[in-house]
Amino acid sequence: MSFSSMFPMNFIEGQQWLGILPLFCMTLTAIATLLLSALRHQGRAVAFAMLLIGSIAAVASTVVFPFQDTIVILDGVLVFDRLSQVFSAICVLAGLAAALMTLGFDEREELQPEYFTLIAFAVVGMVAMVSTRNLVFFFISLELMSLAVYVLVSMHRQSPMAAEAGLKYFLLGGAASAVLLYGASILYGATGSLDVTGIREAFQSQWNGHLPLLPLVGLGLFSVGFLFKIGAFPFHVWIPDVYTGAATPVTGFMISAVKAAATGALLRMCLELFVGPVSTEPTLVVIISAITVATLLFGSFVGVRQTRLKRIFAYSTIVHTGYVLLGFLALLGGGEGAKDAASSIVSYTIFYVVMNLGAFAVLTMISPKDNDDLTLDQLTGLGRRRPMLAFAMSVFLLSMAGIPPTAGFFGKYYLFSAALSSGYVWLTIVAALASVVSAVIYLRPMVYMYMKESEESFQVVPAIWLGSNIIVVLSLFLTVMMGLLPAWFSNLL
Amino acid sequence: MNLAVLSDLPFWILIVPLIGFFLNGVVIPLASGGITKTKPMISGGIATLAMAVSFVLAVIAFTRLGGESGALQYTGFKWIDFGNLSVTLNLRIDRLSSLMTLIITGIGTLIHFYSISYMSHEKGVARFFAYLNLFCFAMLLLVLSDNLLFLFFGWEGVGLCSYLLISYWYEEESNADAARKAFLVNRIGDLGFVLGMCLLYVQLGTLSFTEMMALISPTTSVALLSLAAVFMFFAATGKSAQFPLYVWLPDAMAGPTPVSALIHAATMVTAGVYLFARMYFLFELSPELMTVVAYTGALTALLGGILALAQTDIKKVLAYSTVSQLGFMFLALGVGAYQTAVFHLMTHAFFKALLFLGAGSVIHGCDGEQDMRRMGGLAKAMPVTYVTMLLGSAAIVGLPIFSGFFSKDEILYMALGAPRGSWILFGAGLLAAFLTGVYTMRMLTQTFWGEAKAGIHGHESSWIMTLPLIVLALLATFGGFLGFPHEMGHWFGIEHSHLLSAWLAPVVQQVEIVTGSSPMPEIVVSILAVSIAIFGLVAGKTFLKNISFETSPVLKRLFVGQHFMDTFYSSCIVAPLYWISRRLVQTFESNVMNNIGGWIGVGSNWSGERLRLTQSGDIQLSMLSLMAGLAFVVGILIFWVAV
Repeated sequence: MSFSSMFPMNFIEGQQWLGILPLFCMTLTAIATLLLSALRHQGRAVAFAMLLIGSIAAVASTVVFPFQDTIVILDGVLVFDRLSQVFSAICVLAGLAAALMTLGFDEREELQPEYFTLIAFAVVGMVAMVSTRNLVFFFISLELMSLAVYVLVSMHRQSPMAAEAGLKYFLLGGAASAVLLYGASILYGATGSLDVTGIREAFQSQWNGHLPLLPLVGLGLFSVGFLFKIGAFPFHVWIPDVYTGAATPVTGFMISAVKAAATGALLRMCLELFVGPVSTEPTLVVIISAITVATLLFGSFVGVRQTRLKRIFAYSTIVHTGYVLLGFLALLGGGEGAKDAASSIVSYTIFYVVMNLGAFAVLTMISPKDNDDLTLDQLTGLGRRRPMLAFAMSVFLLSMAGIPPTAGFFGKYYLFSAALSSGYVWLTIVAALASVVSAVIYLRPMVYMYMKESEESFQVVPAIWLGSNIIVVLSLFLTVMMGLLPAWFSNLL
Repeated sequence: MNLAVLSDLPFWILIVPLIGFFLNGVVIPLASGGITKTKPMISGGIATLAMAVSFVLAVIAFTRLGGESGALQYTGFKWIDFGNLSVTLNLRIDRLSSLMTLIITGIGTLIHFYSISYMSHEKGVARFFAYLNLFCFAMLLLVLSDNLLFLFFGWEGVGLCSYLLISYWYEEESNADAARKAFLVNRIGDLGFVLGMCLLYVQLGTLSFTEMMALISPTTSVALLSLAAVFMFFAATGKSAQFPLYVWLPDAMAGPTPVSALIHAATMVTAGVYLFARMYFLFELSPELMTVVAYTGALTALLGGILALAQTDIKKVLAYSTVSQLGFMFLALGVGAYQTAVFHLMTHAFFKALLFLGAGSVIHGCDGEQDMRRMGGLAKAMPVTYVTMLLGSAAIVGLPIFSGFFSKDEILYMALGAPRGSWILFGAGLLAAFLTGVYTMRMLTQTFWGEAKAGIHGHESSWIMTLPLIVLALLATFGGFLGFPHEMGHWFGIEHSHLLSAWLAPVVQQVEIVTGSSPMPEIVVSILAVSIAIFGLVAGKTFLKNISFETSPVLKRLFVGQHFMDTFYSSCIVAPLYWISRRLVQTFESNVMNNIGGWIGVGSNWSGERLRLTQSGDIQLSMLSLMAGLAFVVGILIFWVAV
């Protein structure tokens, strides 16, 4: 009896295996880490090693077998193309980086070894999320990711805020998921298809691009689910509390990997569902423009007044969501900027993930025991005590503010120029103003690090963890390199 | 040989000094536990080795170019590639850049080697060598780039390194001030560069030299292109210390002497000349501008010569002498003699680097004394330095067979015979040549001859310092034969006697002087120039030996120290600017801007405080916000479709 007759998997064949490889690696890794983390003594180390091997294998498979054409499995339940490869690699690497920066921190804060398992499962969800055209499968992978992250948030059991944050995230996320699912089911009801391509064809054939109320509302509800995940105003409400409550490396994971996965999935939906007939609907453009402006202004103005570091980064990420939305608007607008918009979103996501991971690796090292909700005052004198760490942090902050020659400058430049060539002059001006205001958000920690003094007892003593240091060095190198050679990252799609 | 290094020669010539910079700037300080603990032998050795490797590669590139008149290309990485904006680092070695590369790496190697001994008493010498390597990288980028944009990066890079090196001894405030002055004056010129570059890009849509050359023909008459040429000239006056922006160069002598030799004599200050030679097709569009260039050069040559007379600091004499010699080069550029300018650039690099290094050796031997009035009779104590300085002086004055003779006489001949030449330019050049003789003789007399002064004995420097002096002395003596004049060549029956001109001919044009059209044949010009120079030497020896500008207050005010250009700038530009900005601070700033800033600050703080309350962390409120957003989205959708 042969293997193929025992397990008739003839729906996957030949090149399709290459496509499914990252997802396959990560799934195996997740299950293996789940089992291995139960080991009595070395559970943590073994689970981490397993995650490391699996992640490297997954990334290697996307690097070794890059494909230009699209591989479709099961009529679009799984789709593998450049977009899914790039975003899978980003998410897997961000997950690995979050795991690396947890080494040391997890022992001090007594996190369970299942931490790595949860990261692995979340990454599985992300990889699936960016490689599907099917709304139901999309929902399942979104929930796979979200459930793992809910638990990750509340895993920091020493901190009372963590449990609260986890519960809050779960309730609000559940509501958002319900809205998204409702939207998907309305779309199914209106068009009779769960597949993005099918829905798009139905839009064309049934209504010739001018949509009636039902599918429009379906699209609207579906988008609200996305806007919640990427944290656009007014669906950002969970971000400050959850980011503050979660353990620092978990926040780093959410701010990088979760955000990148949501951006990647939204990019796929935009390219395959919205662009074309739907994007000519002025309603959607008006709504998204209003949300973009509100997100930019809210994030930058409120961020200025924050005194706690994780909240500062929470508002910073809201502003960055505003910039990305600007890119999406350029994408929907069609015209000259549309073809640049997609690649600008991709490169911006990469730049953003790298600089945030670096910043959170620094934060992890300087976070005090049992209560890692750092205040600005605790940063004072860091420039003198740990000059290299403070320097790295300054580079990340400058990059987020968009100062050349760092990655952030080109990321913002690409997005703004795409928006300008699509004709969103006023929105770009608003975004530029928001970036001026938000520069204050990033300069304030630097002022505290270098220019203020406080009593010794108040200052934190940074830990020296190898994993976090590796991430800091790598991110620092990449942030500068991406600023010097932005062309290497601008045409990945 | 099929090594990768040899196929990408331009790239490796450029990158080896950068590797040296990285080693000296990062690796060595880390390895030896702090930059103050670095050893001059190790750091200097690495830096010199990097330059030597670069020089060998430059020689290989030179020999490759010997056969044909093409160029070695290197297509580098794409720097920016987004939308319709694409910028690539492309390097190109043609005959002009090959010559410049040889000068930079060759003289650079000698000066790096010399610095090992010169800087041996310094703490943290790795910083010095790292800057020096970085400078060479930037300078090579400047001459190797095939487009104006990367040339500009090199242009800014050398400016930065010059700033860093002038203020190398930054503990003394006057050094830091000198560096700041050099940087600021250069920035004023750079503004012209940026404007010119933007204009060219708007007009032509490209910044690559070959493409620009193809687009610009002598018949193109575009006013904006001439304007771009004016801006470029302005940029060159800053970098190459021409009137009226030469004021920074004398102050730049605050840096270590090898720096003055490399940056402020041999290479960086000639960047403007290189720019003209590289873009002669642009400058030839407007003869009016070129006439201005010629007169500016003549004026600078005269002014530099006069000011050099009055200096008591040996390095300041050489600094003003550099200003004067650069004036000669611009005079040549102005009349259209681009090859001649490059020829003088080369010989000047030889003899002026020699004179500076010799002066460095003197200063080193006198334990840091720079005032010539306190020196004297050093010829016995420092024989090698003395003889090499003597040869260098012969070259700068232009005595026959020495290198300066050929290049300076060619400039004078061109100033008279070229279509844009005139008797005024020729006369100014002759006068400047006379002044060269005077100030050189004065320097020699005060330093090496006569009685030894009390307290200064002097001792010969180590072989590490004298070896570069000897090599440079040979170059300064015999380098001129590369440009043996045609006319004299005919007498000896040599067809192409002017080797440099033949070498540059495919890439740089030169005005031709039709035989007989010049008022004087070249040989007469030569004889005249040599007699004038010797007259200058005699004058320097006999009349001006002991002249002191300190005695006459008028002369002192004019020539020594705070001379008239500095006064002019501070009274006509700096003071009014201060006055305006003080008015602005008193009225506009304190009454309006502060309040606006306050209002905005209060506004964002106020709104931030209020908006913060919405983030109370209350879950019902959060959910309400979520649902409100949802209602907004769906509401607009329904409203839009219904209405």
